[in-house]
Amino acid sequence: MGQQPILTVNNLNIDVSTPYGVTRTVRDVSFKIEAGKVFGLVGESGSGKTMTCMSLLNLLPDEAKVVKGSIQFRNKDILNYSEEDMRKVRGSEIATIMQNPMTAFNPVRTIGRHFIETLRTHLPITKHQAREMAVAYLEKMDLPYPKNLLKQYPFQLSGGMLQRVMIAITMSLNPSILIADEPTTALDATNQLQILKQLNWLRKEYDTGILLVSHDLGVIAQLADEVAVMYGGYIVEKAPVFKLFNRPMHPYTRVLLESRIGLTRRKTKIVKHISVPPPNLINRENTCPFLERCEDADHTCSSYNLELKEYEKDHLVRCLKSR
Amino acid sequence: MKNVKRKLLSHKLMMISSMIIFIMTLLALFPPFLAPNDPNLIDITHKLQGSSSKFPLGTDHLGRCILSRLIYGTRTSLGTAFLVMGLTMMISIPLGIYAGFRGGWVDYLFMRMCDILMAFPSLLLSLALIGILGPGLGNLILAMVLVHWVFYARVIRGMVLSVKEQNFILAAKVCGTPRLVIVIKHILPAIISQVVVLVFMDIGGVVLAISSFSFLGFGIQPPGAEWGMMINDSKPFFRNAPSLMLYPGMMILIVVVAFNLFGEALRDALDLRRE
Repeated sequence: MGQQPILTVNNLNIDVSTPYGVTRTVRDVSFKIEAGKVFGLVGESGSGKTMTCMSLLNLLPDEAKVVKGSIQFRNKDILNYSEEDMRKVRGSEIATIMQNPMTAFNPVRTIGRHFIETLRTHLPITKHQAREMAVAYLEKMDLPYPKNLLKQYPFQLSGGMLQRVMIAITMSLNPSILIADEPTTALDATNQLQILKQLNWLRKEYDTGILLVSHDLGVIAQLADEVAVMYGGYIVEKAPVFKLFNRPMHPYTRVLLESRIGLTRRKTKIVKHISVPPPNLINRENTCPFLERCEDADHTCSSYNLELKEYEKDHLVRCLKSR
Repeated sequence: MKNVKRKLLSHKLMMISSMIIFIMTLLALFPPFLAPNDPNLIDITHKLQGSSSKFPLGTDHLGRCILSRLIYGTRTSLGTAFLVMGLTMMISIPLGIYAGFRGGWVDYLFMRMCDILMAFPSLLLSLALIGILGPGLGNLILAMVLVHWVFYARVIRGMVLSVKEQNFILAAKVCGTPRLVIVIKHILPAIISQVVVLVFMDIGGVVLAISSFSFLGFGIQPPGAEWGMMINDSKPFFRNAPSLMLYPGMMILIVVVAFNLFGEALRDALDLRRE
């Protein structure tokens, strides 16, 4: 298990046209997700994480377009799917947990109707069977009184419960890939832990490959097997989770790890990173996106062709100065 | 829902206007039982009489009972107004939702078409259409629907645009829900209350427009009873019998005001401004 990747992304490039010009929000992104493994995607806001996720579902907004690259799902390119084929894949094969559980449910419809609608979209079952399935899956998510829950409206539940309901809905269709786009950002710490435990249980129980997107390094460290750090649309560093946390090679990864809040007060060395505004990606030439904010940059960096380099086995870095 | 009900009941204007609408609806539904006389019975010997026990509101220049004509006129006016609104909605709801949800060039084309049609005053455009089609109630309805749907479709499109961007629509898409299901089960329920308010706010205007067309002689043809036409008929006798013009005018006023108040109260009760 886990040898053959289920989903492979190759050299993905996404352009977004804005009134001010064209931005390449995702550049040259490649990764693969294997069954039962968790692939973590970290990066600051606007680094291209969500765009990457949406492209996996073929649900990019109208202004965004994949200009280069391929997304292989079970050896077929998703980008060539018809709208109808893609719809069938969504939910049943590639499921998603949305960022903000409180808004992901239609406020005028009960939990049960959401659940049953999704089940019956993909499975040829009756309403009664769907309801039984829903109850069973809600129970698996440790949700109390699943039968009553089905009759309740989204606003009657807490954010953590809604998130678990959402996971229950996505898992009931037994997808092979689960995209978790910041599943814990809207939740408090105790709920976060529960959600992470449940995600972990899912991949063990169902062998689901998970794409975990977050800007919370703690969440990534908990769950991910392999991590990619995104910055300015590029994957700047990709490595197994322990290697990345123990020996960050890219200067951005280093500042990112340093910026975490620790129990002891440390002297921060990231003054330059904070004082320089984030890079403007509109009409940017192919220079290192971290150039202006980097502590280690020198004159050689401006002519760097941004090639990914393998410094160790599985440890890829997109930097000249990596130590 | 409980909240909405309570708000509606506590609203005084709402109670009054809905009572009026209820009475008007009764008048429109059962004129044969409520009207004291045959509205089309011409009796020149009784022409232009004041009120009496036989003719509570008097008679017109052909000796027809005014009260009976008013009651039968309710059926024409309200019935036509609701028919126009219903048909308009049947066109503008699907088209508005389609344009808003689909977006892209379909939406662009649709919007430009709306712009062109809305560049003309709607009354003028309806008049031109009736001029082409010829006078008559059927043609009047057709002309009004053809002119009015643009406005509503445009508003509905706007509502859909704001709902479409909601996170739960994206969530439904992500779950692989078919588009038609998203439209019927997620988008329609989200906009329908606003559409209902819109309909009730505007139906008074439609009543007014129908009366204006009848006044001009384009609507229902004689001897059928209609308020606007009754005003037109009584023009020559205005000096001798002003009540002839007053009664249908009052009816139009009451109905239009009642519907406007009703629509406003409905809007307050559903609290649409907060959304």
